[in-house]
Amino acid sequence: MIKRILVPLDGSDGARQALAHASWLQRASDATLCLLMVREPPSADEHLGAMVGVPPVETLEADDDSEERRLLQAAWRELGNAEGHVEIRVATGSPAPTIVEQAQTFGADLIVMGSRGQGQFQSLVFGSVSQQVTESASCPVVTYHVPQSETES
Amino acid sequence: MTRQILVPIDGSESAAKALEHACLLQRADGATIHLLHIPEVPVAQDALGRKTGATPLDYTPARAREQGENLLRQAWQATGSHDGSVRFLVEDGHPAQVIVAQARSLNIDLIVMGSRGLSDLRGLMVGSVSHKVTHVAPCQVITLHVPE
Repeated sequence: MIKRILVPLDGSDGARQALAHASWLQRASDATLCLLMVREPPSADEHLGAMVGVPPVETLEADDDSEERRLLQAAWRELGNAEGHVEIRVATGSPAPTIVEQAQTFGADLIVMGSRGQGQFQSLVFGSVSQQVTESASCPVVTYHVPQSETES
Repeated sequence: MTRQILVPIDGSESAAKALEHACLLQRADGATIHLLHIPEVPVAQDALGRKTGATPLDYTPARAREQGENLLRQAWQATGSHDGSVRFLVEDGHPAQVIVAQARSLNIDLIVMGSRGLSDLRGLMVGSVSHKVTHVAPCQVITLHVPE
């Protein structure tokens, strides 16, 4: 039986559908949901930063994840499953490894994620995140695919 | 309107897991589950069969169909959810094409499938079936990947 479900969200449509799906599962199995948002540090655009790819100083110092938490809370409220158990997490790092790592610390027995995210290169970017997660996660991964025409409309 | 869920079954472990998953969904919303098996035509194991790719002498499509239906019945029984509404389908053809065609003609809302099947050249075969299906299906598709 599924007890702990991790749902990485990135504000995209596919992720929202995946969340709705996870919510079904939660109701069916009384599991705990973990909503995760991964912050990707931008690389600095001044000379040194651009060369070595480190994030700008401000983002390292600004440790304020209240905006992400607010988004996740809103996504959770939208599901209208007030009595379900939920945990909100915000982590910083490169998406796929961070998701896998968080799945481990949360003790997830299932990851549910969308297959087409926000990245500009559509499936190239987020599609590859879900692929990477699928390959490296130690628990089952459910990938949610929305037909192309639906994502466009 | 009840949700129509299609679950392709090839007898593999990952397909069984996908079916378990579909059953969870069915318990939540009372959907109808369509189990679909696409028989693969076997190749005879004798010398001539191996050379020409011919089927064994005792192979008939009717027999393959019967075996397919048994496979589906067993898969369904293994889930232990006997009160859900279920239909069994055995269809011939190329797996990905048949899955998508059935999804269309049955007005399927959701396909749930494993991402690594029986013909295990490490996901080459069925892994690519699920890959194809996710790209051309007219409906939502869930792929379930279980780590080895």
